[in-house]
Amino acid sequence: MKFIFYFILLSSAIALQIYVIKNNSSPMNFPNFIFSKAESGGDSQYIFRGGPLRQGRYEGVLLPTAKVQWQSEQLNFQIHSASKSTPAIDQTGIYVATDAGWLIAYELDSFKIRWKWFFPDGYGGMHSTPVTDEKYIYFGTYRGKFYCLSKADGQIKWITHLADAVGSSPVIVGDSIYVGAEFDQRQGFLAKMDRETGTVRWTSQLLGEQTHSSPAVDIEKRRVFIGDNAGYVSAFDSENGSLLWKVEVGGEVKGTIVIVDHNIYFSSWSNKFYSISGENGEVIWESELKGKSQSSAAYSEIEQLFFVLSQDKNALYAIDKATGEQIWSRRIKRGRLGISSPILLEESSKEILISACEQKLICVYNPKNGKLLNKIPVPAMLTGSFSYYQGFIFMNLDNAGLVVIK
Amino acid sequence: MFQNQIKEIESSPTLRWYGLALALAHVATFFFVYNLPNVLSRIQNPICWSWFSNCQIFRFAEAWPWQILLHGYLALSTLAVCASYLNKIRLGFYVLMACMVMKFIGNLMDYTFMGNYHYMHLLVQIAFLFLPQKKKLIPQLVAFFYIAAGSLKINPEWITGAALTRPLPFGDSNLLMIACILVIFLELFVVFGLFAKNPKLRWVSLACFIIFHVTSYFWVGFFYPVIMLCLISIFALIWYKNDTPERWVNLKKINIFFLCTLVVLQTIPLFGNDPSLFTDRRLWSLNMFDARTQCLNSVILKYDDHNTDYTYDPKNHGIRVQCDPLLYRAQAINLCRQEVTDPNFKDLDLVLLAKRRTDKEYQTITVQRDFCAYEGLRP
Repeated sequence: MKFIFYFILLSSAIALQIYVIKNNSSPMNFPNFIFSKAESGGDSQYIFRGGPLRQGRYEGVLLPTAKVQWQSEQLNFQIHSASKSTPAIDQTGIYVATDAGWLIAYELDSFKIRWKWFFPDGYGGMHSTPVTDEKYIYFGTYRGKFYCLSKADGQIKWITHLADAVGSSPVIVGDSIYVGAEFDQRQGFLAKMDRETGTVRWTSQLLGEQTHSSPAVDIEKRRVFIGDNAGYVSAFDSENGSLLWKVEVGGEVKGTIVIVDHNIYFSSWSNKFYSISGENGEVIWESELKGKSQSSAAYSEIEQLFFVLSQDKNALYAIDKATGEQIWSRRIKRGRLGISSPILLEESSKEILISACEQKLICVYNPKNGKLLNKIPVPAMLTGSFSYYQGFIFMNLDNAGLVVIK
Repeated sequence: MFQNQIKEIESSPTLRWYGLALALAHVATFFFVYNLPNVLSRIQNPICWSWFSNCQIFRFAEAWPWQILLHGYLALSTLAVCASYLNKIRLGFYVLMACMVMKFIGNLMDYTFMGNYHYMHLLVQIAFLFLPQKKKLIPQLVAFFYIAAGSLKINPEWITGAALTRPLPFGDSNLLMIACILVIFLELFVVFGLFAKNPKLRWVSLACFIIFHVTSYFWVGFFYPVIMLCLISIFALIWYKNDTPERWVNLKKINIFFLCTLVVLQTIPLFGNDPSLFTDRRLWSLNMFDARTQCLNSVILKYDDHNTDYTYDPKNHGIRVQCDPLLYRAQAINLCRQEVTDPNFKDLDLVLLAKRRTDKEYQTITVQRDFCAYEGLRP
């Protein structure tokens, strides 16, 4: 009798636990530690490729006499073959992430170091580009952690451990941050985080492969786009993370997607540059490249052209927005600089296109016809992209460091 | 001093062979801790028990003295086995005691050597070597282990199979849950079958446990099953030798005190925070397969000219301690000792978040700013 009672008691205890289990689903959760909230961060200041649309376009001008004005000590040591992080620049300073695992804040006027952080654990340091608002800087590492630091003194505000690696450059929209993250087991996802606390608001469904692409956000249409290494581009609802559509393009999409007029444009390892409808994922046109591409395109509003680089038979292309026709192309030197990304500078309806063209050379082109306007020698190869701020071009070079051109 | 204990063993073939089983467990321990010399010779980065944070001062800086000690331990274990086999009880008794002491000291030398298999082996040896009524006490002690272990498993972590390091071969989540629930019934219900009057029921119950331990090899390796098979052999021996006690009660006061102390030690962790995450209260209790924790750690080293966020990778350690705050505390102490020699070093902040796999949210386990100053390690 005692044993029957005991058996019933034991069964009840287990049944209670099963009830708890059934009512307690466990989605992906992310350890997040808040040292102090990143309150009142203000407007976004620097976003990779110029903003959520990632058009690679900046207001400004570069003089024909431009040359290297200053360079730092060596910061990158080619520890990893991925494109180097692009310097994040705003009125408070220059913030450079390196493949050796350093994040360094420089003063804008004197280039003196304000503070430095070292993240020693991840293989390959940091390759994504940080994003800033008025007070804080946000970035991920190849260790999978995502940080918010105070720009003034480098104090950590919060840390969120997203995955095994963060190679995607984040974007700020309102009070949220969107960023891609990846697992060692060849899987990835898109995350939306709260800017103040770093808590994850939602994650997309798993993408099926890692993602090295940086998300682009169409704020008006509430869509976020990201590519992955399985050769897909996905569109998600920016509010709730639900999948809107997913399209296969036959090759890895590692570059940043560009949004123009609510459609998306991007290059792929399928040797093509694509135009796809942001509404439903239908392919509008494809433009054949002579090699695979992971370059992030720059867009000219005036010429209605996209500019992108390809690898293998390295070339710089100008592609018509409406038709995908290649208006002009220029050969550039072979090597890893084919993975870099050009930018466009525009002032008073005049534009110039800036791109890496040789191992230690930056070229300035007329976007309309590809005419070479200027060549600027630099100390090493560029595999990332450029940042522009008030007449200065900033680069973070392979096997070198921060270089400033004026 | 131990005459009564030795006499009790000498007068019982059951206990003689059980002594051999306990000695065999030491032989198995040798093969399990073969890496001990490499671990213990790392005096720069010891992982000490929290109440013995200077364990490195008792360590040799090189591996060879530890190799000698370890092989000496093997020699003694083998001697204990042989002595028991050859009915040299007095010799076997003292050699087994020496083995127990050596193993215990070895466990004290590094926190990562903690483990239920060592804990249970130690307790059973204490009962065998120092306490009376061994044939009555030890079976109840072993049964108590199972009951404590089964009690720890009544939680979502175990029942869902989330605590397992590998999925079952058949992979289906419902079958997995059934299998995990059956283990609870085994440890909390079938265990009483070991004390049944009906011999068939006793042997069937024992067979269930043997099957369980043998199959557990696929998740826990060879050592845990070998230890448990050695410990539960007491049941087979007392039945086979017709040595089953008439009554299981009427324990002497010392034995009652011993069992009650163990019960108290197992209940201490139940008060307060989740003992699987906040592990300090379970230092002296069992911590079975109750939780496979996940964690985030940051050690923020602060220097005059830069800061470093160092993430300690726990994968070098066993699953059971990978998110143990005592492990991170020991690592932080090592970092303090290492870095205070750098004139640019200011201090470090230690952060640890953890959760069970089935928990929704992470809990803050440790946040200690200026850890080195807090631990008195800054000059």
